[in-house]
Amino acid sequence: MDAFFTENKLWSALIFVILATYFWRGLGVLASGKIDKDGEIFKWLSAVTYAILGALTFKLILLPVGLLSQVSMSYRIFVCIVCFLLMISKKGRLVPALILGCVLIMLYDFIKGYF
Amino acid sequence: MQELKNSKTKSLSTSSFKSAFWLGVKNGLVGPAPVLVAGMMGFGAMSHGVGLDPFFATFISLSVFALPGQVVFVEMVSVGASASAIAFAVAITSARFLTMTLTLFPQIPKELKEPPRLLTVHLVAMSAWTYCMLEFPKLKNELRYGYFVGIGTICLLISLPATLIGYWLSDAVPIWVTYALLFVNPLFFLMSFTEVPIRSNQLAIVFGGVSSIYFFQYYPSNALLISGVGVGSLIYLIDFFFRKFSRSKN
Repeated sequence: MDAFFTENKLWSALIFVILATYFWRGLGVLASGKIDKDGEIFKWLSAVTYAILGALTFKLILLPVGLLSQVSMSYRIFVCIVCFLLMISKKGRLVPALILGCVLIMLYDFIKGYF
Repeated sequence: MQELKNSKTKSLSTSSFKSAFWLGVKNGLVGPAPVLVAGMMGFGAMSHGVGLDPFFATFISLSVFALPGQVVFVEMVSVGASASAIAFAVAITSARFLTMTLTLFPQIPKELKEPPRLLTVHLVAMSAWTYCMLEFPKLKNELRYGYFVGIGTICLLISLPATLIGYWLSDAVPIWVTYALLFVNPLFFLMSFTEVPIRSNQLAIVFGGVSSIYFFQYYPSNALLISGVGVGSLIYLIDFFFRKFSRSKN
């Protein structure tokens, strides 16, 4: 951790992050009713946001660092597929899918011989 | 909800703001809170994993209050990204707040005496926004602001102990419980992708995700930006020309 970041750098990154996050919220209040939320710039921002979230999610699931890397990749993918299928089977199944995913991932230590 | 729908209040008095606020608090506790608590506990556990201070992690939850941005922050810290790259990536992921605010706030009529909107806008997050968008059509106009502030405040307040608890639990519970704490956020993001309706955004998720596996192995500190801004922009451009071509054909 220290090799990557000094405390000052962490704080400066966080201050930028706070300002950047507030910028969009504050701009939303000031521009409320004045700009077209369906314009091309929003379409671009939306695509970029989803691409970042997609990249982040794939990275956290397929290339995790730390403890989660001890769970085999095939099992992580298996859990994701099961939860994904549950989620798309009917609307409003977010909480059951999350609970099932957590239970399955917790079971890994007890059944890892099979994966 | 029923009791406020039938309220005879004609204008936003302090008492109607208060009752709407408390209704927001109550609905916030039973609605978005469980998923938010799980997500923030996961964020706390992740922060512990990369060696952040627990109070620094809690301060991130308080000051940023945007789970995807927070997870991007911690993940980029763990791969040694520069401060400017982190700020840029989080800024881009937070851009959705502009659209969220632009759709939410015009539904709330302005009153002379109300908490400043430039302050309460910090409470706009997916948790409060989703519930307000669902409930606003059923709520009288003058009750909406109190409801939003109530639901947002409780969501923000429960995020703080949840982050700390997640942080400390990850060190105190058996390893198999920590697996769940660390897995809950990627799983939550993955599940929420199933509700993304627009085709170009679905493609951005898939191509951004698949390309990141390559980029994270060769350019770990900038992979999120390359996959996000680079691949995301490419998908947008393809979609843009596809739409233009379809329009000219018709």
